Parts: sequence; structure tokens; C-alpha cells
Amino acid sequence: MSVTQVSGDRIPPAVESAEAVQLRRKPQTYWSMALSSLRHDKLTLTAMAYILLMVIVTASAGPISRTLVGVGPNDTNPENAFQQSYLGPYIQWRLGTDPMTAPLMLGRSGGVPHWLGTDQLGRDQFVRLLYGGRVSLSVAIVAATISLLLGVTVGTIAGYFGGVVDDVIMWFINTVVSIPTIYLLIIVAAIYSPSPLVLTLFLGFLGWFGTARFMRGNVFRVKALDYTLAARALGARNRRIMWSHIVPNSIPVIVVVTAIDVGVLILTESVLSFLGLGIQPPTATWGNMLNRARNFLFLVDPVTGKPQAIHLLIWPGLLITLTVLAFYLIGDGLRDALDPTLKNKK
Amino acid sequence: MRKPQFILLTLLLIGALVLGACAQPTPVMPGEAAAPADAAASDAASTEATGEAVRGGVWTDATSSDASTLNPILGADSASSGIYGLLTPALIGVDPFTGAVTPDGSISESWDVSDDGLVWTFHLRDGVTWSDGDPVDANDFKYTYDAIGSDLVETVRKSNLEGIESIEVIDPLTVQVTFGRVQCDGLLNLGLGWLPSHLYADDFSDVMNSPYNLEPAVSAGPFVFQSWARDDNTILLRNESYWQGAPNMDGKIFRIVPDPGARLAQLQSGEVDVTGIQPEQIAVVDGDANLKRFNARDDGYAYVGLNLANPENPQPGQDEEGNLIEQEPHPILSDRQVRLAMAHALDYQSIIDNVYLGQGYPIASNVLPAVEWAYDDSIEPYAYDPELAAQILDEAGWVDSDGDGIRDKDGMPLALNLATNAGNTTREDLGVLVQDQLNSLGFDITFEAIDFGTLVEQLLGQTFDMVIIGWTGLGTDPNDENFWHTENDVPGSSFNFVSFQNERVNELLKEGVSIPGCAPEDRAPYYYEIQQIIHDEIPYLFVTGSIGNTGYSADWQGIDPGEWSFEWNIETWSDATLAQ
Repeated sequence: MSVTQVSGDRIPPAVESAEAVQLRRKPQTYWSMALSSLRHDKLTLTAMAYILLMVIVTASAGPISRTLVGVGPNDTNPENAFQQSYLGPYIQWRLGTDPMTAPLMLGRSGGVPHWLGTDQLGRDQFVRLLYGGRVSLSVAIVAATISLLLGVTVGTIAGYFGGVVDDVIMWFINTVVSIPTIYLLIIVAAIYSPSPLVLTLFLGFLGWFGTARFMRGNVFRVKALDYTLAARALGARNRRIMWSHIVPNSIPVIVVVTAIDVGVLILTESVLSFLGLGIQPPTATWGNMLNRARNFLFLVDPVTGKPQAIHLLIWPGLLITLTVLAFYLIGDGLRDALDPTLKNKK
Repeated sequence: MRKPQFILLTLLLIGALVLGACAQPTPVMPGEAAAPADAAASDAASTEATGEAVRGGVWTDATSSDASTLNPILGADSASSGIYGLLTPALIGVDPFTGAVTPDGSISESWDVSDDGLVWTFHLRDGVTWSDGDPVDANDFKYTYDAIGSDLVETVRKSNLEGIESIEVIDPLTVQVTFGRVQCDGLLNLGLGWLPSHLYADDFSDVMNSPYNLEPAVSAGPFVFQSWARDDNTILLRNESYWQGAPNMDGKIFRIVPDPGARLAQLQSGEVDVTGIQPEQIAVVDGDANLKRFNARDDGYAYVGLNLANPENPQPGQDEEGNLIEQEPHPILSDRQVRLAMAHALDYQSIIDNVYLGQGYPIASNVLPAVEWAYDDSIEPYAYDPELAAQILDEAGWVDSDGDGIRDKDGMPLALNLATNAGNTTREDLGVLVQDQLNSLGFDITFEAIDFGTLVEQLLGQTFDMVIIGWTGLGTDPNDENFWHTENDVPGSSFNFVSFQNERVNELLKEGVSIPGCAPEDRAPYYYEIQQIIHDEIPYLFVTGSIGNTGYSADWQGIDPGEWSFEWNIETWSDATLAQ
């Protein structure tokens, strides 16, 4: 360390021992501090594990549904509509507490195990949730990436150059933001047929304003710090200052905003589907599955009087809730971990 | 997170509506003590089957949307006609059970027609008055139809004047309508409600914007108007001077409840007495001892329309002289064997059971059984037989020659687009089933639910392959030349969008409506033949006839719903709970 060099060749014992004490604790970089903070945050870790699991499972929807179920997302079997979840009876059957239910349900479905039951056309809900999750998640993640890139670029430019550039950009952002996004999306969805690609692009291109504002605010802060001044004094060009100093030092803000953004986008996609303006059937998404099931809230079995379609409401609803919650928690956890000023405040 | 909140919100909203409904609007009866010794009123009481009709009670009807006007010649929606239909007199009635045109319930006592079928003379009932005492007579009828024809009046009802040459008032109780040609379904055009001519300007200048359009001052129906709170409720009161006898109930309330779930909840709680119910709600209504359910075939059907002409090049069906224009055929669907295979490939019963939740019935052709006299019950719907369908395709040369799972012929794959309007969940489900059932036979169907406006554009523009859609409100006459005659095959505007072209059907359609006298037994053979041809040619895959369900309170006596009218005898109904 430079301190020792300044003090001469001979190292005083006191200093040496102080250094030994310091070395017993590993030198920490910013990222390792963040990681160690995260390591103790069980909630955030659980949320991350859940999202990872969702991404893996939905990405491999094809192989999983072939091996575990054996039907595709749009294979109908009207004779077996509204079959209840097979999972519970299967477990009971395996445990021997109710030996008959599970085989009976299998017979009606033509041998296909519908783990989470079937919908009004006898389509497998589990398979549709996998395929639907793939659409819902990829729309949200890709759209969040688009808005991340746009938001960071525009926000950095606005914040860094300030002045007229900033005024014009902020004037534009403030104008667009003052139109409620949901109305904007409804208008757009009514004009263009909302295929997954179209919806992703629109969500992405209409979603970057918040990120840009956050980024701009942060750039103002970072721009005034000494190391930026130093870089400038050393003759660094604008581009180098922006990309080597300002953007890396804004990553914490960006990561948090983006994680929360993904959650918001999943919700937005669901809301649009719920309004009938999202991705249209037969393509499954969690939102349009839930929307369809809503009609069957009152459907009861004429013989037993039991509700027939509650399982069609519960599963998509649960998945949307958990996934959005998980992204929020991740956002929250990352903010705690990445913001040094929040250290030791717990 | 927002999803379950939506459900919660919905439940809360339902709760709020139920609670909010505690401030229930009640009709105020002016002159409650008015002597019910009215001759007509006591007459009605004696016709009451149970004989113990007690006056009082209010009948509340929950509807999904509000009326737009209470002027019978400006209204075009069922919410409006549901209300003004109870206030206005009409020249002809429709039998609630058979749908046949009848004088019963109308101002006409009887009518006769000249031998050439062109001149109709209506004899009106004597002594019928508006609620202000002014007589209801032939001048009101003539005024109403003249108003429709007036340049000052903009209305979709102008088409009701089609074919009418003149309307003459012979005397206040006799009116003569002369048609330019025999038009058997033209009689129905004379069924619009009448305006009270003594309250409107003689020159029709105030027909469009008279205050009476929103608050009718007089009535010649079973009720009189009391109030209309936009998007909330409309209140009608008993008309003491109704010519068929004043109703037993004090009044009728129409309440606007847009959400079907909320309507059901209010029906169950007794807040409302009658409402239309969705197929998925049927079991709930059937399980409720306080409710009854009326199940009736509607005058509509659902089908898959097959474009017979090339969607790349839509052409009109005939030129101005009426000569048929040869259509460039659809590359796939013009092959009748393909259409026949499709007709056999769909499991109609399973579709009805699962998509329509049992609320439908198989149909074979374009005339519905509700039009009893014209319906040919000897034609059987195409049977579900996928093996036969596969065989038909094989024989027609559509085989999977390249092993990709999709049949082809001369290098063209059996690939078609199927569209329906987004948001109609029943049709979306139907589309999924049709796609799956056809694809399992070696078709390659691309199904898409698209915005209704876009769909209509494709449909009328004739640029589609296959479309799932339906007809509603077909009425009581079997004449549906709008759908089949080549003169209605005009890209962009007309309803023969499948480009059905059949000279024999053209002839039959025109002859079927122009038989002097219009006797059903004379007209029926024409419609039998049309049904057979359309059944054989398969321009549509007929999926199901529609069935409607109405849930209503079991507390009322005298309700005798018919397929064509639920409340035709509303004046005789009585609230049995008041009798105890």
C-alpha cells in the first residue's frame, strides 16, 4: 500500500501489525461487498431462484410437456373439459389413501396426466402455463431490455450534456409521460394486431421514459464527482467519460429500475390481455388464460354444485402474482445490496 | 399481483352494486286511488288464470346497456325498443310462440289483402286511446311512416318503406297500404311503433329532437313513462287506460347492470326480477329455488363462412343488368370435396356441449326451426365422421405427398386462414377446436382472433379464407336473400361475402317472397329447395343455432314466455307474494 512506501524502507512494527489486522479481512471490491450482502438476504435469493427456475422451465416448455404430459398447448379434447387437477389425486393414489380417483381421471383424459387439470376445451393447463409463461416472460424481459438500452442512452446524453439537449429531451419525455401509458397501449393495441413481437416492441419503446429520468438524475450526481472532473482534466473525451465512468457508476440504479420494470411489464401484458387487447388466443399467455377463466367463475357442476373452473383462475393468477412479486423483491434486494449508503442501516 | 386484485375488485364491485342498490328507485304512483273499475282493467283481471291477481309490486329488469332514444322510429337497438315497445302501439303483432304475423296484441283488429297481393287494408280497433285521452287512429300510423320518409328525419328505418307505394287513411279506423310489388316479408316492415301525431309537428320538423323522444308524454301500451336516469335506470308506471287492461304491477324498472356476474348476483338477491343469463351461469340459476329459467331458441346461428372466390381478387357477383359475373375460384375452398370433408370433420355435438355449454342445437341449413312453416326438418346436419372426411380428401387428390403432415395437391398445401373477432370468447374457443379438428385431418389452419373492425373489413372486402361469425335477429321470415343472392355479392358492402353464386337460388329467393297472398303453404316449397341447395353446396359450415336463457323470479304468476316475446302478456302478471 502506498502508505507504507511513503513512510520509508523500514516498516514500523505498529504499522505492520495494523496491516496484518487489515489483511485478515480480505480486501473488498464494490461487487464482492454487494455479493456478500446479497448472500445474507434469503428473501432476494429465493426470489432469484424462483425466477431462474421459471426461466429454465418455460424455456424448455417443449421437452417438459412432451415427457411429463404428452400433449401440446393447443391440443383439444372437448370430452375432457374442466378436468380438475390430477396432481392431488395422483399423490393420494401413490400414498394409497384414495386408490381410485387418479386412475379414473386418467381414463377420461385418454391416458394423458393433466397435472393441473384442463380448460374448457380439454387443453392441458400445465402445458399452457409453460408456453404462456414463455411468452409472458420473454415479452417482459425483452421489452425491459429495450427500454433499458434506450433509457440509459437517452438519460445519459440528457444528463451529461445538460442545457438545450437536456431541455429538449426532457420536454419530450414529460409530454409523452403525461399520457397515461395504459391508454397509449390500448390505442396502439387497437390499431395494430397485438402479436407477441409487436407487443414487445411497443412495451419496450413506450417503457423507457422512467429509466431515462432515473439515469439523468444519476448522471447529474456522478458528473459532479471528483473522478469525473479528474478524467476531464486528463483530457478524456465525452464518450470515454460517459461509458467508462458515468454509466458503470450508474449500474446500481439501472439494475434496480430494470428488475422492477420486468415485473411491471408482466403486469401490463396481463392487464392488456385482461382487457382483451393483449396477445390474442390461441397463443397462451398468463394474462389471457386468466381472462378466459374469469367467465367461468360461476360455472358449477350441475350434479355436485361444486365450482368447476377455480383451478383455471388460481394457477395463472398465482404465477403472475409470484413472478411479479419476485421481480419486485429482486429489485428491492439489489438496491439494498448495491447502494453503499444503505450499508449497516438494518 | 394485479390479477387476483382484479378478481377481488370485481367481487367488491359486485358488493358495492348490491349495497348501492339499497337506494332503490321506486315508482311513485300518482293517483294511486284511481278507480280500477275501468272496463278494460276488470276485463284483464277476469282473464287472469289464477283469479287472485293482486295489484302492486314492481318488476325490475336488469339489462346490459342503456336505451339511446325512446322514439320508435329512431331507435335501432334492442335496449331502446325494449322500453318503447311497452309505450307505443303497432299495426301488426307477432305471435309470441310461432313468430307468425298476427293482429293479436296490435291495434289492427283484422286485415285483408287484394287478390294481386298488393293492397293491404287494415281495420283498426275502436276505442283505443293514448294515455292523455286522445284516440289512437290511422292518422298516427300514417304520420309515423310519413315521418320516416321525410327528408328532415335521419333514421335506419328508411328501409322499412321499401316497396311501399302509398299509405292512405280511408277513415280514422281504416288504413290502406299499397305495395309496388308483392313482398311477403314487407308486412313486417309495417310493425314499427307509432308516434303520437298530436304531439309532434305536422311538418316533422321536431321528430329528430322533440323532448318526447327522451320523455314520452303519452303511451298506448301497458305502461306510461315516469323517468329515465341515463346509464342507471328507466321507470315506467302502470297505464290505467291500457286497452288490453291495466297491468297488475305498479310499474316496471329497467336497471342498467353491464356486468353479467353482477346481474346474476342481483337476480339471486331479489334486487332484480329478470335478466338474461350466460351459459356458464345456468347451473346457479337452476340451483336456486327462488328462480326460474326460460330457455328458448334465438333467431340466430353461428357458422364458419367459406370464401368460394379468390380472396386475392374479390369481384361482384353480378353486373348491373343482373348477369352473373364469373368469379375467380378460391384455390382450395372452391373444391366442394374440401368443403364436404370439412363439414364431416367437425364434431358439432362436442362443440355445442363444450363451447356453447349445451346452449345450442345442430342445424343443417339456412332456415331455423323457429320459422316452423319454412323449415325442412328432413335435411340432416352433416355427421361427424373424420374417417369419411379423410377418405373424401384422399379421393379428391388431397394427399400428403411430401410427408410433412399436411395434405397437398398439385404442389399446393391444404393451408387456410381462419379468423374471428377477438374478445368473443365463445368464437375464440370454437376457432381453437375447428383448427385442431381440421389440422388432425391434415389441414394446415392458421387461426387468428382479430379486432372486430378489421374482421368486418376482411369479411365485407371478401379477402378472407374462413371466418367464424354468426347471424342474429333473423326475424320471423325465412327470406335471407341478403346472404345468398348474387346482387348482394358486392365487395366492400354486402352480406353475400362468401360469393355464393347459384342461379337457381337467385330465382327461388325472388319468387319465394313475391307469391300473391303470401300464404305460408305456398311459399314453403321455395324455401325447402333453397335449404337443400345450400346444404349441398356448403358455403357455410353450419355450427349451431343459438339458444338464449332468461332467469326470472319464481314469485310472479301469469308469466308465459314465448320464443318471440317474453313479456307479451305482462299486464296479467301478478306478484304472488303480495297475495299472502
